[in-house]
Amino acid sequence: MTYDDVEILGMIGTADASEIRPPSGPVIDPDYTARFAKAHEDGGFDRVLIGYGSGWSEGNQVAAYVAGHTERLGLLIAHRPGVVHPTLASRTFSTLDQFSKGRVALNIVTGSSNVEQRREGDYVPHDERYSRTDEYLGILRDAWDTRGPRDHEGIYYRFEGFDPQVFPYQDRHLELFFGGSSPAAYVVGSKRADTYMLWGEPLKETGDQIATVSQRAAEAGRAHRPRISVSFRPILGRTDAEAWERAHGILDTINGAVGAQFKEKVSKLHPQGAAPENAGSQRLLAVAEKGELHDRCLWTPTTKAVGGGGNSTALVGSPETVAAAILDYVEIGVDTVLIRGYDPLQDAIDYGRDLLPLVRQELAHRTLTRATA
Amino acid sequence: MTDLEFIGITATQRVATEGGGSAVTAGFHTHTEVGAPVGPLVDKEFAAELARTHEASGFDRVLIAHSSSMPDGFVIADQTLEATDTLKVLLAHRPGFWAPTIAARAYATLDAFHPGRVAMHVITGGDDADQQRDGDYLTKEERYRRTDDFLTVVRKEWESTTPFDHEGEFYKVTGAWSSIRPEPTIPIYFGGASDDAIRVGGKHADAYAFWGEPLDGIRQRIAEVRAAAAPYGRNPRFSVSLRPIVADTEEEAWARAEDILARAKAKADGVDPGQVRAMGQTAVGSRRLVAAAEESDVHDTRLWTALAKVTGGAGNSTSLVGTYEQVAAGLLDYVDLGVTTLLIRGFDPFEDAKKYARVIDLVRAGAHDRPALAG
Repeated sequence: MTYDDVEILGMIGTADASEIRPPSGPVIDPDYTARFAKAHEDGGFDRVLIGYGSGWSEGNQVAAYVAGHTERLGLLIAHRPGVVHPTLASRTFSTLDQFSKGRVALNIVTGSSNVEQRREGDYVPHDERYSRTDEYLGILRDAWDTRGPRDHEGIYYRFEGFDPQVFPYQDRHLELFFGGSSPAAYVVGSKRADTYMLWGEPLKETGDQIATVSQRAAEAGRAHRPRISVSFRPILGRTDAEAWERAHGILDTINGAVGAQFKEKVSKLHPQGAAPENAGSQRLLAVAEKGELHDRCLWTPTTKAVGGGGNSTALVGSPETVAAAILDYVEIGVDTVLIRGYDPLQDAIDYGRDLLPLVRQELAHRTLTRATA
Repeated sequence: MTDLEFIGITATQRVATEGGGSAVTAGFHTHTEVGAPVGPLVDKEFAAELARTHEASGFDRVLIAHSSSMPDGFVIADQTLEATDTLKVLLAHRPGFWAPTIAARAYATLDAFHPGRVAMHVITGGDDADQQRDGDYLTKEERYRRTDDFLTVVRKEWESTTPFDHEGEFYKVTGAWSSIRPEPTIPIYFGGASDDAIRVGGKHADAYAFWGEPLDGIRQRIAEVRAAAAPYGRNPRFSVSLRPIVADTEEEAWARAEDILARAKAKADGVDPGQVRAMGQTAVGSRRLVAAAEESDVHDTRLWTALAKVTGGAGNSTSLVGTYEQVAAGLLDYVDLGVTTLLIRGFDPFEDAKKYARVIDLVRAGAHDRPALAG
């Protein structure tokens, strides 16, 4: 990796809501969605993630809308194999990529829990879902990379004479991001992903995951491992002390009535009361068990407070401290950082103004002063 | 009071219709049999310009079609809605390739960004080969049963305020629930001419779409759909699709029709029949058009069916030919049968969409006191 191709990702939603902001107003607020995306674009983010959930807005439509209201911002659309036939999915994403002039990438999420999968009619068990993802991604890549009619007969998909006429912008393939921390996920993701996404664990545990991904990628015959992305929830203050004060305030809110409302909403999407089924959340909870504070400023009580669900570990401190923490991850081989806040829109604005310039400046500095790893 | 609705059609690729444009294309992306596509398959500016042309001509809505090789309709729908202020879309969807829950949320999400401007056109698929290109090996009869199951889940996903279970022949979900519920709901248009189609469409359709058959055929079909819809307490509106050929004089219009036919015939051999079939949405519908064409080239006063013979009845391929006033009168004959949606598209995407402005004005003026619109 080189310092100058480090990417910084954000995340958008369609309404002003988070663990500490109770939703008010419509589930899809077009103006808010556009402003949220624009804040990322203006702040210098490379790309925004658009999430997937069985009860949420559908990401392709959100991405299409956002593409129409921004100029250059990349779109990372979370997509679950199994809910759309891959030939059709390949065309959907190619079409959007054409209209947006090459701004589309996919985040392949194979599924978090059996309960969530069944809400959309998917009864395939966990490890088999990853086998299906493997076949699915092979079909997507083939649809983008080759021309002419083709047949396919696999375990999960069969078709004859599929002859797409629409391809990604400028004949590239759409970059495939991939999430999952189970053994089955490592095997498939390390084989197929352009970028492997991890949630924010301490440096050591992150290094362990990178090693696993590298090993599986080598076993799959790849010359290079996928790029690595790590996701965090930075909590900034003007000073470290101010950031910590804010962090404790956020934790209190999550543990209070507002957070309860959020957890109630999330419990509609994840099994109630039960420990999370997904390895990623289990790993975050294990880290939280080991201690509240790790490395420079990685803070885990927010993870514990929401039961491990998703990207939930914080980097707490002044912009300088958090920028330094992000660079710590870059030094162990992380290529991409995804950051989103607890106060989603305002934090995106603050990150763009206060944090990203410091990170970019330090990356540029290290490009000049250090040999690349 | 039912409002008369005019629907046109979108496209994403330019077409050369005059001069060098003598090639007959299967018409997937350009939707014309008489012009050669030029430029990129997905041309953002062209698509936007065509949508705005429809809006300016007084169209209420544009159809976004579907086939296994076409660009994806959802994205085109968003582009169309962004490019216009009030124009609505009729987004074709083939059940079987998206899980019904996510299909429902995709429509609902699109509708939330563009409130009240989205409708679903359900096409069950008339051509086995095109279904198989996307991995669907069901028979046509099974496909209609699946469409029934699909639409049942779609409606629940749109309407249910609490998690629901569903166990049908094709779809099973447990605890499905969507936070996005369109209000008012998204209209379902439905096409298909077979008995299975009418049974399923009668149960689910808010609007039932026919191709442009002679008046007697449409009268009969309306009666069949009404009979199928009645047990469900439904009273759908009806749509007829036609390809009007208009000119200042009747002679000019017929001359243009003959020219279109000659150009279509000239290149018909060069077109893969399988591709032509893919345009067709039901075999029965196509057979009905061809049967009418074989009987006579002209039906009623000015329904011209000669082109259906060349294309095998693939898709909307019958025309009303005449002056603006004559074509408007021909359309009003369908209105008198109870048709309140008219899908009209031409052979030259821009020029015809512009010409239709006058047809639309005349039909609206003439429809003012028609009984079909009083209900």
